[in-house]
Amino acid sequence: MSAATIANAEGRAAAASVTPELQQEIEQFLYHESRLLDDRKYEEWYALLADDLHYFMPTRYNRLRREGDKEFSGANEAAFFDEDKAAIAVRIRRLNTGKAWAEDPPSRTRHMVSNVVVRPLNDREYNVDCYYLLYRSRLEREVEIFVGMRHDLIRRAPNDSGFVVARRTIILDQAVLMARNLSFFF
Amino acid sequence: MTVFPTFSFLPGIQTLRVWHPRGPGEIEVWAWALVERDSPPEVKEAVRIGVLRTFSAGGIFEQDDGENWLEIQKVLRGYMARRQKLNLGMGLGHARTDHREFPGKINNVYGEEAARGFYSRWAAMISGEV
Repeated sequence: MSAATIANAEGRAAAASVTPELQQEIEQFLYHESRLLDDRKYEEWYALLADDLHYFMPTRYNRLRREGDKEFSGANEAAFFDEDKAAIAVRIRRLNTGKAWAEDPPSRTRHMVSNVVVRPLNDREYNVDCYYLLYRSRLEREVEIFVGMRHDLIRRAPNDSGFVVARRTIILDQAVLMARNLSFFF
Repeated sequence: MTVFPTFSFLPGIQTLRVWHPRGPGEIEVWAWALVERDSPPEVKEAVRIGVLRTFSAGGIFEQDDGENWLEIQKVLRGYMARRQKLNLGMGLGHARTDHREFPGKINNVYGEEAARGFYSRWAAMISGEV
């Protein structure tokens, strides 16, 4: 898979149909969701996930330009995350066991989101691409920074936030993961 | 299980590892999920998902291992730890060599037989004995 096929570049013409109000609405949702994660309100964040969630983070390889189509792992290959909603529930339950040592003491995270591009799929679903910068500080002096792109499918829902996340594909701009683990959510 | 020096396999979980030393204080882990070639696609998929959810960088068990690997090394660099000899005595003297099928020394998995084997072999090679 190439970067272009993973990122949702389709629908340039649809840009005109994205009103400033819609852009604002979706950005506010992304900020709210980031804030819940950074405030460690995992159950509240979980409530913003659709029942048919696919949360996917492929691995990435250092390839020559001519092998660009082999840069990302495919659907049935190695992945950092390939989760449905039930698997996310297990991960959250783990955090509350008192034995999840990678997150106890918990990481200090800050999810920053920018370059938000909204493309309506229909009247209630939106392809939303964004760039993220995730700062993570662990224990007394460990710091890790993750930078990349997210491709989300955001769906209108009858909750206080107005939306749920139905699909999240996380692209990390690293070939070898330079972190000790991935014990947090993107 | 490790085949000296850096090729490992985790039975039951079906993950293969190669641990690449990247200089002092650093290691790069290459990981695979191992499936039986002739197993049905859904079994292969279940193994793949099983490995990534348990023993991978984001796996719910290996997350904590990442912590262990780094923190143990940090502690060993401390003043007190540097004044001690590394203790690899767990299970010492309990190995057996009389298994009907399997050759070599066999000991309880919760012990340091593997570490003793690793360092003995390393010491022999580094001192030119093999």
